[in-house]
Amino acid sequence: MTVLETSGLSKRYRGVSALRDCNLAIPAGHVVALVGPNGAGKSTLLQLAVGLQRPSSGTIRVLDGKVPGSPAALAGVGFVAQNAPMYRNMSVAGMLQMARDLNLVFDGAYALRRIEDIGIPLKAKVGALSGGHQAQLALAIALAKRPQLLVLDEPLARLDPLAKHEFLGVLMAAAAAEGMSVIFSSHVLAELERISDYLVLVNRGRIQLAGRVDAVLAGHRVLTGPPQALPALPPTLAPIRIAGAGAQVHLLVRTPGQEDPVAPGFAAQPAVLEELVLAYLQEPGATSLPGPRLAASGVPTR
Amino acid sequence: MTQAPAAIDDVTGGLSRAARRLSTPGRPRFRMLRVVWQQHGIALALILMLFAIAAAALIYTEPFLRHAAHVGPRFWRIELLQSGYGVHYPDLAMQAIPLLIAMYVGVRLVSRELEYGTAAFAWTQGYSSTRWLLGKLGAAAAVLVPTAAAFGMLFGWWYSPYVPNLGYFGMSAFALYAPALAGWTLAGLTLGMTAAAVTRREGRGMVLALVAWILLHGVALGSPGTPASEFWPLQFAQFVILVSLSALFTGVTIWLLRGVPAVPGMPRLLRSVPWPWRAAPDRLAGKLAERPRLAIARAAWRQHRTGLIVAVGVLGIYAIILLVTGLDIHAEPARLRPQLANCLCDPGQPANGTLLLPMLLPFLIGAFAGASVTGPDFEWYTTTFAWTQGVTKARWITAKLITAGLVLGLAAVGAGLVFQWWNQPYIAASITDPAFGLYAPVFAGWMLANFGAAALLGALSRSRSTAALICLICTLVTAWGNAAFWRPRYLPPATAINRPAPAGSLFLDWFPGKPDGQPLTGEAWQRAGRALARGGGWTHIARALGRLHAVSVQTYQPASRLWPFQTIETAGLLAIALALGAATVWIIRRSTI
Repeated sequence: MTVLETSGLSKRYRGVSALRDCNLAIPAGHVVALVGPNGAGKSTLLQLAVGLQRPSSGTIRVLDGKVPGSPAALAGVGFVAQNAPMYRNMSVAGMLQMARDLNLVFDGAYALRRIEDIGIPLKAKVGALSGGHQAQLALAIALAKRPQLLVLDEPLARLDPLAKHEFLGVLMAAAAAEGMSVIFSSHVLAELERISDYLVLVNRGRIQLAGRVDAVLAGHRVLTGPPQALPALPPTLAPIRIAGAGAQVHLLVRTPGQEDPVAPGFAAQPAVLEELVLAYLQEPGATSLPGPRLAASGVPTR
Repeated sequence: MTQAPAAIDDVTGGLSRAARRLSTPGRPRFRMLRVVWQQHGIALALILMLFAIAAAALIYTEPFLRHAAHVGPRFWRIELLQSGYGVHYPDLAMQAIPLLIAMYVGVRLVSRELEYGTAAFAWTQGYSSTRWLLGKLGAAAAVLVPTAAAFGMLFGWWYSPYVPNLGYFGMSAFALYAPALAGWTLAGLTLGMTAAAVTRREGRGMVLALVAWILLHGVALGSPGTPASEFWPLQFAQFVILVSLSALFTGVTIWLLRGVPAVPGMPRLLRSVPWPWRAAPDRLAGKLAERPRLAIARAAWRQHRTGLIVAVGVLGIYAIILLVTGLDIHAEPARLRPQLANCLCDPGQPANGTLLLPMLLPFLIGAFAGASVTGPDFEWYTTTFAWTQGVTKARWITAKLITAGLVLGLAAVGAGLVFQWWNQPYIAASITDPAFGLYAPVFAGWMLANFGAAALLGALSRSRSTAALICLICTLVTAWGNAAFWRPRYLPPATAINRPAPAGSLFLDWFPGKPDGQPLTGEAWQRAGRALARGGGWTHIARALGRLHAVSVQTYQPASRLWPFQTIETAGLLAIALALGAATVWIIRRSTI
């Protein structure tokens, strides 16, 4: 089962491309980190996935072929938008009742338990809550919907470290207990490795990298060696980024296998997720997806 | 190579101009005016457009009125309006401009900054909250007050032919002369800002401004009996009173904002009220356990109940006033009848305002309720919440429109029925009843038509206040046009040959005609017209025309057509409301965030 599938997906806002020709198929059962710089198209992709935007061209489907925004898709997809907009004039209790009324399935007891655990007063107005509490309330409502796919747009942005830790704990527990798939966008690279097992990297409106985190890491290595030895690199190693100058250079390369030989003079180390993501973000032309591309550094990649 | 920068400069002209402005040392002149225009340009432009439309209407109608004025006051209303109803709308619309300034500009100047939290930005720049407030007020007043004064002078010129007949205090003239109108404009602006500072919300601020505006009319000077020599002293006294009130409102606003932290949130006073209907946790668990019947309608009610309760409350107060006064009226109809009939029918009577205000209710309530159904969801991005729950966009907006529409429609019908009971002893149910718009069917019809129009405009403009203002402008103009021109033609008119139209009927036209009722033409028309103009009683006129082989023809709508006309107008308004509602659903269904 795929929770999100796109084919040739593009989105333009008044002639400006936000997403271009995106092809993606995310299998069920993963916690997917959607990563990219500001303006990369992450929010647009998530809004398309929940039916808040319509594609300019191409198709997007959720939960095995359901059209986003259709009744079937709405019943199975939970969404928490950036800044978690809710009805500010309502009390927290009123907001819960509102969500209950707007969903065919709503686990009110779960939502109430979550709200009480966090310590959000039921009588408080939503607009008077702190940003963190608003995010927690929105997550509780989205989880109480018992969705098969939960989509979160920058959920950690407004949380303090403690709230962030708790938020992610709740998310992980719910994902593990329900077998729910989660797609979330984030800038917090440090958290990625701990919570996500699937990575989608978006840059300048294109999908730059997509795959299971362990497979992605296994397909990359960091090489350190003298710059003079660069021409001797085997053609099977595709450099993503070359950094450093002088006596030593550091390369992030795609490799067919961790045990394959490297060029003489180079030492190989396994790639770390944060380092890998940064390298890709710094090289918007690089891609691990099929088809040759020319990286910004001028190094041909595949 | 040396040409390149010039070429780039041409292509990015706007950007480079902005860059040049930013790099110029010192601060630009009229900077607060610039800031206000950047922030509130649309609101100010709409109000200026409103003044321009009203001014164009005055300039366009002036030649007709000047001619009609010479004929005499008896024909003034007929020539101007073609019917007795329309008289309430043009001056009402013009008097509503300062109110719209209060609700739309004054409230927005302050409320949006507090609501969106941008006050936190504004007050941490180079201005204190007081200077920021005074700067905004000054800039807006610099645009609106001179415009109002100019419009007031134009109105004085337009109204001058009527001074001999209606006096300086006839119609609503006093409030529309330059000094008074400038004063009302400034008072409206400052009152709106105070309402926004009290409520800190745009919608609530508008409601408070409306209520306060009604109370503020207690300081209106002048009455039809006042001697003409006191006109200008009273004008300036009115101006001074309103400017003093404006200063008071501004002081209160400054005082209110000095203690307000620049973050969005409910006023502490309201937050601390222990509302009895707020759910306790144990009861809430039971409520959340299962989905109730009509769940979507409940959700729609939950979202809009505050506004709907206020709307129904306003109609309730109106109904209670009618009930209380109606009991006296029903007890002693004979004693009170002449007074009230005079008050209802004569536009020069000051008490006529009591009739004008309820006539405005379906427009104001319908426009703000309709705009509230669609606009705020876009303004606050709550569409991202509502559209990603378990119901589709189309079902959600349909449920909201039906729920709010039903509540408003039923409340309007109730208020209209109470009015019909109140009105019973005074004026026989006649088509010429100036309170035609207050009868239950048409009252509810206009309410729902406004509601539908504002909902559609809210979906298009994505702003509650903009939608409500545009809706009010459009529907008030349409209502006036309908009352003056279309309503008398709902059914083919009856004709009275060589006799006057029966009492109580709606007079349409009077001309010399052929015996079959068709108008004469050419030379025959002119000769018969001269005979008609000489007058001298019906027998004399009939004889004079008979010598020319012509008859006197009066066309009219019989008094008994009140209910057919009510039915026709209501059916039309409901059809329009349904069409506008369907268009709203269609727009929302196609909308993205």
